[in-house]
Amino acid sequence: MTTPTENQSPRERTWIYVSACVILAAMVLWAILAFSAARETNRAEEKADELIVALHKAGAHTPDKDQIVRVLGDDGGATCANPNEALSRATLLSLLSNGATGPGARPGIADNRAVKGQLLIIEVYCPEELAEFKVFVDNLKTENLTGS
Amino acid sequence: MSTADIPADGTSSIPAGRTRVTGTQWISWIALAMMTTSSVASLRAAPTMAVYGLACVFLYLLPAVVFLLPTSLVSAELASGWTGGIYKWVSEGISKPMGFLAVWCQFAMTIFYYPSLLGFVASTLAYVINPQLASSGVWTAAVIIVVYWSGVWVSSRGTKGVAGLASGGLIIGTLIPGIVLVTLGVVFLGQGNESAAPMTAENLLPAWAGLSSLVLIVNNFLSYSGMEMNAVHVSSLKNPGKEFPKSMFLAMGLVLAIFIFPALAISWIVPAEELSLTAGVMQAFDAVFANFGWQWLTPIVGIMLVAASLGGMLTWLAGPSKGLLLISRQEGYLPPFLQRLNKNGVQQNILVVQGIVTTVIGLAYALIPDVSSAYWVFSVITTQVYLIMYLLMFVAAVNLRRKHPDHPRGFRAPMLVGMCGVGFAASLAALLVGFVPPSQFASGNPTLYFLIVGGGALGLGLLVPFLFYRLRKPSWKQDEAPEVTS
Repeated sequence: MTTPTENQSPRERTWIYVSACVILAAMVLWAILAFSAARETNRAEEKADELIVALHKAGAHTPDKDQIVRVLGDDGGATCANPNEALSRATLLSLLSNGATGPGARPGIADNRAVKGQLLIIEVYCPEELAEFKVFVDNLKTENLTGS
Repeated sequence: MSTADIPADGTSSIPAGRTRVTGTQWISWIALAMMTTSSVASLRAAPTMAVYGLACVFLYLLPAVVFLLPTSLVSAELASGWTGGIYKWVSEGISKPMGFLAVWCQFAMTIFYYPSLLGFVASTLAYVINPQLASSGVWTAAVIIVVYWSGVWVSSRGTKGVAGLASGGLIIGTLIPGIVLVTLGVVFLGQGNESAAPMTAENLLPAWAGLSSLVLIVNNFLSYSGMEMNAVHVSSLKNPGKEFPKSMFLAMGLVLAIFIFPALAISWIVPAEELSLTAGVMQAFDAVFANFGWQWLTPIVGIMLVAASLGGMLTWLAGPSKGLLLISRQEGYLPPFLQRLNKNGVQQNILVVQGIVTTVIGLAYALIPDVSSAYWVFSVITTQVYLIMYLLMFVAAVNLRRKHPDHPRGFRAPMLVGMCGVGFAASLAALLVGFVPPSQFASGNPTLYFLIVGGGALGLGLLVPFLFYRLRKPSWKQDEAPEVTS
């Protein structure tokens, strides 16, 4: 039985490694230049207060206000970037899954807190998206799996 | 024996410990452990599991005992005795057609994996560049095509390069961010802050909610699927009999650490209610860094996470397709065109055909809304198919111990029969749980769901390989030196 022997040259491999490092470094540079953390404005602080009140009403742990301001800013950040578009929903649905990160990832029955936070963020920061998102969330079957 | 006959991929029955390859082809057992870890574990699920707080330890440890341990130890024994990976083990332990079925199940499972993995890469990049891009089909399609075909090209250059990139990706994109995350978590608690998730003994177990909890626990067995996949590269080790088991033990430790500690750290700092799954793992990192005023790290970590995903993708490109090549050449299951090797000795044509299929699926995922929203169905079907392979592997391992008790093995798994029994039962349980409708299918008909998943798994896992088997031709067998394409 003939079996293949791989014979990549060390030189070619070195080139691949060097190219990968260069591409990675360029992407890091691009990301640093393009990334904009949420701005700490008065409106961002007001929104953070609103979210903390909403979390408190929902009986949830209330996080540090500065942390909320820096992540969600005054517009909800990535959470409010088209949450009702198909790909955003696909991302969410794919994360309502087990703890696998390889091909063993598959959906399961999620804890009801998995989407509760997102619902509250949308309610406070981008209420115009809420009605449609709520219909979507209401169609998800969740359970109280953490007992909290 | 010609140069090309050296069992670099090992379909000969020469004991693994005596397999020889040229010095330039060897990879170290640490590199193989890194490849294995890279193909199984990343930080991607950390926010999902952080929701369960301290219970995430249980949700990872129980599957480690009933699935990770049997899978790792059994595949270590098999790989240290029979080179060639899952095909060789099952064809020797059960039959050649079953060997083909096993390697097909391992290969087919990856087809639907790449678009979702690369969709994650696209959304992670979008988070640091422009969050609006995460919902752009054009952006997602471009990322899928460019990244996937770059991966195909790298894989077609040789395993050693893949091993290097996978190791680099794991260190840069999983181990370093993971250590940073855990360190910040410890500092957070050390500063006297209260953990966002309660860390008392009562929270060690997930709440019992009947079938839903059972689904949660059993589904997590699949967290460790893939531990056996890199066994196909075992003969690239200098001393496979001793080095492969060591490689598996190191990988087991790394996988457990990567899954458990970062999820715990996130649960300490970021309340479950602040985690947005649409924004994924990046928002969790962003929230952790925001707590320390270090948000400048967020874009850097974003790119590091992308590097880890790409390293994992490379290992999946290189592994199962190589197993499929071996069986195809030996038994003539695939046309000669698909059995050709490039000048580097890699199954380039299989990779290209797989790439075309994946590209079509990837474009559908990115550009057709209904497909991307319903993509989770495919992930259920493919994991069901993958579990068939595990059932076959455990049966084959018991048969091989009984039929060939004196066959030289570099490593003998302790209590192999019991280990296989536990692993088989765990795999069967995971297979059965796959038929319970998940959150995404709450408003649907359970019978319809059963038919979709069952029909899909039968079609992809049994019908397609059966057709390959029936349509094979004796003339497709490759007994001579492989034809090399440029």
